[in-house]
Amino acid sequence: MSKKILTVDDSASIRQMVTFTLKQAGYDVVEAEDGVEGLAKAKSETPHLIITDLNMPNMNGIDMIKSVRQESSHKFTPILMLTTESDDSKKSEGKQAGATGWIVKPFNPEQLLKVIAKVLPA
Amino acid sequence: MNINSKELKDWGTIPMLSNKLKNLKDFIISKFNIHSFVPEEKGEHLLWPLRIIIILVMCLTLKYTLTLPLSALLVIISFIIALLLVNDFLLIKYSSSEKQLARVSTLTQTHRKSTRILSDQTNNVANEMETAIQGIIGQFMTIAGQTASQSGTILNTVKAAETVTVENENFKTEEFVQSIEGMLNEIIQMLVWISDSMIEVADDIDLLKKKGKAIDDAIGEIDFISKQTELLALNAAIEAARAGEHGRGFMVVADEVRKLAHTSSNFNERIQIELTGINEGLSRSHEKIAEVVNKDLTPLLLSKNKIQMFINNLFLQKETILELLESAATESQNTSQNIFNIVQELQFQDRLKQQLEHIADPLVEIATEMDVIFEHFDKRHQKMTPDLEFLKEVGSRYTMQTERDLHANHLSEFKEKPEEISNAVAAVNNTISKDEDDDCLFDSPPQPPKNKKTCDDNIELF
Repeated sequence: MSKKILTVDDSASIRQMVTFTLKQAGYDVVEAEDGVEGLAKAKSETPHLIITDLNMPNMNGIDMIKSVRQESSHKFTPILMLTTESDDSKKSEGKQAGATGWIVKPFNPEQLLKVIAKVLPA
Repeated sequence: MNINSKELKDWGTIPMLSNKLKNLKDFIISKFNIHSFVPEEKGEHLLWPLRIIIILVMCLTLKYTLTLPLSALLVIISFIIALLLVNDFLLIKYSSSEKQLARVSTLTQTHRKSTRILSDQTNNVANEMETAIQGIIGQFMTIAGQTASQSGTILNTVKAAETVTVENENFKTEEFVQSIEGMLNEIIQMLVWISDSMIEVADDIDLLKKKGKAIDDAIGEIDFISKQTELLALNAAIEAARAGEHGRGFMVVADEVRKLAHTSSNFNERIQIELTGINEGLSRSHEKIAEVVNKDLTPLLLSKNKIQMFINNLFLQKETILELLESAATESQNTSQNIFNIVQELQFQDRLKQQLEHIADPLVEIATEMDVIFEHFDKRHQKMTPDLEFLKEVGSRYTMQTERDLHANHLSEFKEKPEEISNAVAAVNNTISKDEDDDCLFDSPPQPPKNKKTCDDNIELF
């Protein structure tokens, strides 16, 4: 059974690119447009991994991670931040919130897949 | 700077109003850098010499018509000048403030709109770019799918080229070629062996034919013996007849010998016939075998060599095709890699969209602040129309219908002087339509194309 990945980004094109990359590699992909939808789908779809943007309307990525981490089913789910933000203070904020990793856009599809393979146990 | 409508109403004195408006003007001018819109007051320095000339003419007229004393005239002149000074002071102050206030309200009205237009145009750019990028990614996804399918086909072709199936048994192509070569060699060797054997058979037939001749000779001798025996039997019978009664027994013997000789002769005849048949058969076989033996095997050997060459070439071609297919597979992988690179490059759109949002959002905030400023004007100034010349100038820069539509949509909110607004919108559209004569739309019923002019979505030939 292929692993399910949730991608949360307000940019439709980034969602499309992430989905394209992951589906090419054989993953199942679920999309969400912002933190609120991302949190709802994290609960309903129980993905094996979450990739989220930082700056989004309604709920940003860090708040979403904090909420997701409160779910018992997602205490150990790998969560990667995929954002244009590269500020160290933001990174440490993300780490404290419970992010597993931080990828600065633009992402290289191969590198993204390598990082996923590293954090997502087979 | 905080101002409200109550404060505006409470501004009782002209100096206070002037001061407040000056601050407001400076605030807006500094914020929006709009010095060019502040009107200049020209020609006021010419007013006072003219007035003094008029007063002097009036005084001279009064002096000579009413014969007033000089002191009274000086008092009147001083009084008039004092009145004019007060009047001018008030008038200039009030007039300048009124102009500034009117100008500021117009500018506020104009720029609360223009900033929103700019914000919407910026958002439109971001959205259109996102839509375009999504379309491009969609196309690349299709290409990636086709490339993956192509790679699969290539791999299957390579596998198919590496094996040959004969009677449900799979052979490697190389083994199959070697096997054919072996079979050909076996066939040739078999033919050579058959040819050699035929030569031996031909020799044997020759021998048999010779032996048949000996048998034939022996049969001739037997035939001679039979004839002699028959002749002897005849003589014996004659002699027996002569002997009369005594020769009767011998007569029987002679008769039996004659019959035996006759039977032997018949048997000999039959052997002769069979032997002739055998000889003829042997002769025919000999001829056929001689034909086989004399058959030249060289063309067959040449054909065998040709077949071997043909198979070897096929094998080499297969190797070349395999190399090409492997190269094609590598190209497919490169294409996939390139698509990944393109996907990475296309993410510029996300960064650009964010940057555009960072421009558009503050513009909306500025517009909102200007809304607040505008609400503080009294109703008379709130009815001021925007600077249509400026908005027209802004609109004239647009080169696309979507931009013009958005611009016109914002301007259509002004209802006070719809004619002026519609004229401004029409002016914008007219300016642009001259630049877009190549637009493939017909206002009137479509006319037949002139000079082979064709219209196909975005293409027009003249």
